[in-house]
Amino acid sequence: MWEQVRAVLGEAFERLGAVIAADLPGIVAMLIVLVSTTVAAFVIRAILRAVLGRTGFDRRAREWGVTTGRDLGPRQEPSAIVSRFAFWLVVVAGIALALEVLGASTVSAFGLSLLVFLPKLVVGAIILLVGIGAARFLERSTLISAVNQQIRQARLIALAVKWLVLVLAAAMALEHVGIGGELPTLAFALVVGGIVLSVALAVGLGARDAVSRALDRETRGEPRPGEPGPTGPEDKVQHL
Amino acid sequence: MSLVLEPSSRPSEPSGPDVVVGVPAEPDRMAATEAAIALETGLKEAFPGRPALAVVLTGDPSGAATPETVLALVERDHPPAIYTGGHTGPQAALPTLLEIAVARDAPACALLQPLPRPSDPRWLRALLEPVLTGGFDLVVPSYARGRLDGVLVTGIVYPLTRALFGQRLRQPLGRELVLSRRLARHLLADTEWRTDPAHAGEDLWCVTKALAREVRIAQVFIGPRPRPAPQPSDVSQALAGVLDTLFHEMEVHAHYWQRVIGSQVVATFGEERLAEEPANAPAVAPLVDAFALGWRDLRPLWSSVLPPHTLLALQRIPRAPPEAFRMPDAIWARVLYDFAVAWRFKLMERRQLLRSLTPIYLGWVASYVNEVGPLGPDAADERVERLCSAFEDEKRYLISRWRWPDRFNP
Repeated sequence: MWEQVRAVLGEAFERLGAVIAADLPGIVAMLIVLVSTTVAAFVIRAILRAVLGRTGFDRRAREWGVTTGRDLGPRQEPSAIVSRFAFWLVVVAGIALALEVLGASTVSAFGLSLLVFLPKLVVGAIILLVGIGAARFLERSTLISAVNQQIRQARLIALAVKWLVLVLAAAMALEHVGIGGELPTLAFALVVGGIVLSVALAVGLGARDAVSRALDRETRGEPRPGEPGPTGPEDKVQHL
Repeated sequence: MSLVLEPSSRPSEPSGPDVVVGVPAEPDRMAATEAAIALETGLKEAFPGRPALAVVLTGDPSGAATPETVLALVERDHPPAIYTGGHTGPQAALPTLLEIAVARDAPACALLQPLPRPSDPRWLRALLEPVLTGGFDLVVPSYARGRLDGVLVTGIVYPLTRALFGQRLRQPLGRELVLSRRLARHLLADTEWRTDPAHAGEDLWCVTKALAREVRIAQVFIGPRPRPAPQPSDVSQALAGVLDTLFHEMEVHAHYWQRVIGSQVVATFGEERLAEEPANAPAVAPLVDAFALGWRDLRPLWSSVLPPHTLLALQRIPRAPPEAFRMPDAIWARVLYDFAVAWRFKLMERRQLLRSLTPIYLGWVASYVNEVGPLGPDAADERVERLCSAFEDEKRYLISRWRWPDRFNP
């Protein structure tokens, strides 16, 4: 009996040895890929930080309204966030590549799909980031213009502009990444259509008289409420 | 290169053959041509025996000559139209005028607006003689103004340029200039025509260049303006345009103005008189409303530009009744200085930053109208003087924030 046990164990160890001998290069290669990509991620993060710092990326982000620039810690600056994002992107790409190198059929398919998905994710993130920047810039621009035009609902208008651009950017990003299929486009069209319809109904039903009065004022050249009365140029401020 | 020009030419020195006067053609070329004809006739009467040239400076090439062609013209019936290279307005007209004046070695050149002028040429003599015979390098024509006219100049341009450069030039934004040969050469040789075409050639650009070079500057009061100054349809655009140029010049000449303390009187010719004023002062209620609306909606933006102390001071100004609205001079000066620092460090997009100042500016206008409305001419002048003193007193605050924006933030 012991002879049989020894024979079985010997066969098992032989098979294990054969499996290890067969998979060891793959595992070593996987480890090498993981270590290299991690090192590359650190290097890329350092380079990005230096380049973005020198090109005034944080200042431009502040200028465009992506950040306020006040009370931001060093880890919260846009250049730090972008560098971190790039770091994790390279790490994830490294993991996907490592799985592919390992060669096991299930994990290899997963790694391959991750590798295919990553570029789309990056472009989607860029679309979203640009959208956020554009939304904040347009919100501020609209707010200032509306306040200077003496519009009482300036904040509401600015907020509407911001969310419209944000929703548009999110829909574009999701569509590019391929999440939700046609749903983001459909949802965006429904939201915008709903807003336009509700505004049209609100103006048509609730503010018909006000719109009519405003149009009358425009055609007769009368001043808006809050503006100086039609008393001639002597009542206006001579700025220049 | 030294910032100070060579010693000024003395009246006894031989002068060149010509006085060159340029009139921008746009937006009304016909009016500009008529103005140039009248100016040429006036120059002949004002300076008999001294050849003079009046030119119309246009951005439209049709029927216009180049600056080189006009130099070859011997016989002509009317002032020639000179092509400025496709650009229009006084900013584009100035380099072409300087080019002609320098090429002709003219001792004086002037950029004047196409306005109906008095038939008596004494005003032309008053304007040009400080340069031709008085040894001045820059003469800025000033028109008689009402107490409440040109509040953008009174409230921002005059006190700010005075505090920065130490010269009391009352109307630096006149869009009209008379320049000496030396200053014309220096301006023409300036590298900013290439490096910064957006600002080069503006009236404020020329004036600040002259102020920073410590050339001899004079202002000449030439009576009431023949036609009221055109008013901007959008105040925030006008404010942003003027402030953008001012802050840009602040940045360019920062090494100079940080050494200037106090201010001195500029040589003044002619009598400063107040123009006739309308019976009614501007309504202040809409201006105070604009300030209150700005405070409600733009405060989050202002809080990234203005320090808490200034925000608190703005919050404490009582809004009602509008006739009692007062903005302290020191606070107004600090607000402008803080916006200049924010512009320098690009705390937000520059155009947005400058346009966001409009409600505070309108609040200051309300305060100024409330204070100056009931005053006589002398008292109104004293009021402006107090405002300028506040700007000069607060200059230390500006220098501190300009140098150490993060460390010095009260």
